[in-house]
Amino acid sequence: MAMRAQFFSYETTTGTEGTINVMQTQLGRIQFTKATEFIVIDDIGCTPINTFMSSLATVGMFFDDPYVQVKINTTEYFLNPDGSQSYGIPGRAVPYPRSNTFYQTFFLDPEVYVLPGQNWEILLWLGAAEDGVTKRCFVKYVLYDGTDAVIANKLLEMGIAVKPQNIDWYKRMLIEQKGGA
Amino acid sequence: MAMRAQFFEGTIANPVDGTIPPGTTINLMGRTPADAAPAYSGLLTDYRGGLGRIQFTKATEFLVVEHIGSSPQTVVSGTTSIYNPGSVQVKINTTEYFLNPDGSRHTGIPGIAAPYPRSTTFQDAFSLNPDVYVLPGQNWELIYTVGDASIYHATTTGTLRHVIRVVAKYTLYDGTDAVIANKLLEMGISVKPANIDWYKRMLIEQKGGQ
Repeated sequence: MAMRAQFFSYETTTGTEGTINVMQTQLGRIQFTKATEFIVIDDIGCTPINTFMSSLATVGMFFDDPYVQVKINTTEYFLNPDGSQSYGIPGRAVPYPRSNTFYQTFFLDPEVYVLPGQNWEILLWLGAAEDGVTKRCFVKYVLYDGTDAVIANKLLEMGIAVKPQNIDWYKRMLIEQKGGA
Repeated sequence: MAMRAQFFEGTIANPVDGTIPPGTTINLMGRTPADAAPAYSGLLTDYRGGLGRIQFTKATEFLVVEHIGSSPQTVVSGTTSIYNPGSVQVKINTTEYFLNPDGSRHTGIPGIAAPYPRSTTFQDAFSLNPDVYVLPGQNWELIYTVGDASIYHATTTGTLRHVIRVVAKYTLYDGTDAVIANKLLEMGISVKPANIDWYKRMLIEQKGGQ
């Protein structure tokens, strides 16, 4: 099992506003990619909130919806257009769970690579304090391990997208070059 | 990280009692941050109020706008809803992208054609294909034009306030990938992650490397 589709989800009902380091909170430590691993994040999402109106009358307080952000080492992936810090992608654009009420607007293409030796974290912005409201997020990723991680690094050098089918293509090419079958 | 999928969401809501009348145009990025940012916004630029200045693409960057959208509906009175044909326009330097067939000015793509968020009730009638390129050195802006219904404040409609959101999904190419993006543009090939990778592979093959 050198290529494995993986899924990590988190939920909280905390009423405290602010950002949660999801993996550190749930798993107790920062996530570190080993030298023999290569991670490709395919999809992220978080709880969507209705966009058309808000019952919160205070100026600014309609910003009560979750956002999800990916952090690699000390760098947050999603930025504002001017390069300033952003909360990430709103749940309205990447709903989790998916339903007829909210369809996906944002697709993570190109994907996010977490290279060997890098730390990674999912940040969940909870928005305004709301007691008892469940807010969720998820990340779907592919974990390449062992020889497949070596091939993934090779594909990266070659400028080829790291995907299971390209890993297989590279293996086939190696076998063909050796004349084996 | 030389190619990155990015997403901008701007929010419009009337900050004081009263309305934002029909026909009002709002520069989503260039407008100043909201006066009353909530305490929890911390050091972040106030995302809802705008970024405070026009957005300028650096010499080492290349932007491809792949999707735009806006709220398809607003509430006009109590719980009664109407379709609000508010529209979103992309502006590159001084040129607005979407035009009428006669070349005259247009307010852009209505929220009911490019809804955000997407749902069973509202799905895309318009998709931005081909994409919009923002070249190095160019400015870009999203302009929202309020539709037939005003955007009301909470005191006008009782307990509810209207919230309009405008979004752009774009890919930011930086550094060497921005150079390749310019090269693809010269070659007449669409700028996409797959084509950037193809160009890199071609360069490697030409060098005899693997």
